[in-house]
Parts: sequence; structure tokens; C-alpha cells
Amino acid sequence: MSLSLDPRGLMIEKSLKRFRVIIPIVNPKGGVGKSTLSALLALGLARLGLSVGLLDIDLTNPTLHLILGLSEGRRKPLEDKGLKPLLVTHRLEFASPALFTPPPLPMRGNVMVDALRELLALFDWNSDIMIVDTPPGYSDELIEFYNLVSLCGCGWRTRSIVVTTPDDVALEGVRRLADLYKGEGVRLLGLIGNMCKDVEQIIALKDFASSIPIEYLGCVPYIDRFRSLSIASRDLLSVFSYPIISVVRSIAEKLEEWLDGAGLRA
Amino acid sequence: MAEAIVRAIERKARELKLSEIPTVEIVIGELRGVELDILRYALDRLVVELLSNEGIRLAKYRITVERASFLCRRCGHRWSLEEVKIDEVVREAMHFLPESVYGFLCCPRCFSRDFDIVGGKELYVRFPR
Repeated sequence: MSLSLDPRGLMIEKSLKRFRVIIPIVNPKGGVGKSTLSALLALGLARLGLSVGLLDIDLTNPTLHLILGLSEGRRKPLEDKGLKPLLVTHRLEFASPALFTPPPLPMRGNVMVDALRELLALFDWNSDIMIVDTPPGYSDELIEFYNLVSLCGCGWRTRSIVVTTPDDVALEGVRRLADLYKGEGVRLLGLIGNMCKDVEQIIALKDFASSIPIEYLGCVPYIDRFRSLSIASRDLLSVFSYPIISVVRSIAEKLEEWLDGAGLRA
Repeated sequence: MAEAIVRAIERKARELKLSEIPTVEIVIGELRGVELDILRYALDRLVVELLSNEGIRLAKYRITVERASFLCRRCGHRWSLEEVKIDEVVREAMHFLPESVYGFLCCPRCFSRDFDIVGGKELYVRFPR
């Protein structure tokens, strides 16, 4: 009998331990705005002076690069004792499978697990906060990500944020997810509403959040322009309207509070 | 990659309380497109550092390259990289992320993209008992 070991394990551990905070953005329902909010949050936190690494683990159909206005294959990561994520802005790094290959990537179960491990082992990050855009559902990529985070001893510095639209179907998915997370020991930082149209929806979201319970972090209104333009191609001032800035600040404050309490202040 | 391999060997050696390792086998899949000369050069330097810095001696290592092999789940066809045309863009993508083949390749017989990578993306170190 021989003993085999996978060197990627050490690379993944080194990669994840670089971050003081890891924030998966989750909701099992598709189309609620996880990718858009991941990008906005990353850009917003970078704007507030935090160094952010943004990772797309929607392996089969990544879209973050489109939202950020980065065409597939046009901008290549640099190699310098490891692969450097793309620098989107001064304090925002970005990585995605789309940097290597045009989506979609039709992959089955264990292949996705392997691909995720490769992606996590590959990059040499230089940021404090990792934001992870996750795919819909609760399947291989997300399960393996939480598994790896835990195995690397980074579970205690990981807090997921739920993004949801205010409709009943999406909220039911959040309720199921919250139940599942309780059993798995996955901790939540809070809930962000997206595409809220009126005050009634905001109030309903706040009530829903209390019922779980999960901290309500704010609501981003429906913005029609988001449907057709990438964020990078717009004037950031016009994108960061007051509700968005308010949500981003609320999250930044929560993060600071948590980092202080956990002794993770830089 | 070389550093990760040597660190993995170091960790295992410590776990097994070994200061002398007679030999290991490093298995690398063809899809990773590793330049073996460059890898050997890096490994040789790191093995010297492993002894001088950590007191762990690796006497010998062997590198085995596993050939790439694919199996179509739709029609059952098995094929290798020789049967398909791949350019530098694809090679580079595979080097970084072997699973990127799913973005570029399909079964040469039925053109399905539902296939398994049976071999060629390996990366592990084998310690013989």
C-alpha cells in the first residue's frame, strides 16, 4: 500500500488563510442578483479603503467577469511565483474560471469539486477580504467550498451573506438555506434585499429577516439600467446611489465590528 | 507547483516522523503541460533547502506523467489528446485549470461535451510504504 498526498491542499490552505474575512454570497434561487451584488459589494468595499479579492465559483456558468466589463480571454492573469488575480481597481482583485476558458463549462459532480480545488490553489491573493460569488442551488461547488474552508481552519473567519429578492419563492429558499446552515454550522453575516420596489417590500423583508433570525443589512432597489450595462462601463457615481452606498457601509460596519470582536483587526 | 510538492513532502515527513525519505514518486497529468526540466530544476533546489533548513533528506524522486484520456458519456468513445487539435490558447488554459478542457473540447466521434477526464489531470506525491 502506498501513501498519496495532494499538494493542492497546502496551496489552498495558504491561499485562504491570507484573508482575514471570507464572505460567500448565497441564495439557492437563481436570478436574485448574487453576482451583481457581489460585484457592487466588492467595488464598494474597495472604495471604502478595504482590500478585496473577488472570486467567481459559479464554475459551469460564470458571469462576474461580464458584470465587471472584462471580456473572456482579453485580460490574462500574470504569473509571478504563482498566478496573480486580475487587478480590477487599486484595491480589488478578481479571479474566475472565465479567465481561462469560455463558458459554459458542462461538468459533473466530482469534476466540479476538482475544478474548485484547482481554482482555489491557483491564485496568489493579496487582499484582506474575500467575496465569493456562488452558483444557485446547494451543490458541489458550495458544499466543497465550505468543506475546504473548514478543513483549512478558516471556518471561524467565514460569514455568508444572503442576497434575496422580496418574492415568496426566493424567501422560501432562504428559509430552507438558513435551516440547512444551522445544521452545518455555517454562520451568516446578514441578509441583503435586492430589486426592492417599495417600502412595503422592505418592511416585509425586515420582518422575514427577524423571523429566521438573520440580520437585515439593507435593500438595493430595482435599477433598470443594470439589465443591460456592465458596472465597469458606467460612471461609478451613478451606480453607487444612496441605497447602494448605505448597504455597503452597513456591511463594512458589521465587518469592522466582527473583526474587532474576533481580534482580526489589521 | 514545485514548492507545493516539496512542502507536501515535508508535511508528510513530519507526520511520519521521518528525517530520511529514500524516494517519492511525483505523478503529474499531461493536461497540466508542465515543463519537466523546469520542474526538476526547481525541485532540486528546494530539496537542497529542505535538508539545510528543515533537516529532512529526500534521497531520490521520480516524475511520472500520466497521459490524458477522455471517455464520452454519450457514445462511449475513448480518446486521447493526439486525436484532437489544440492550440496554444487551449494548452495554456489547461496548464492553469485542467478542467478548462470542457470549454474547448468535445467528443471527436459524436461531438458531445458530456465526457469524463479519465486521466491526465493528476497531481499527487506517492510515498511507497
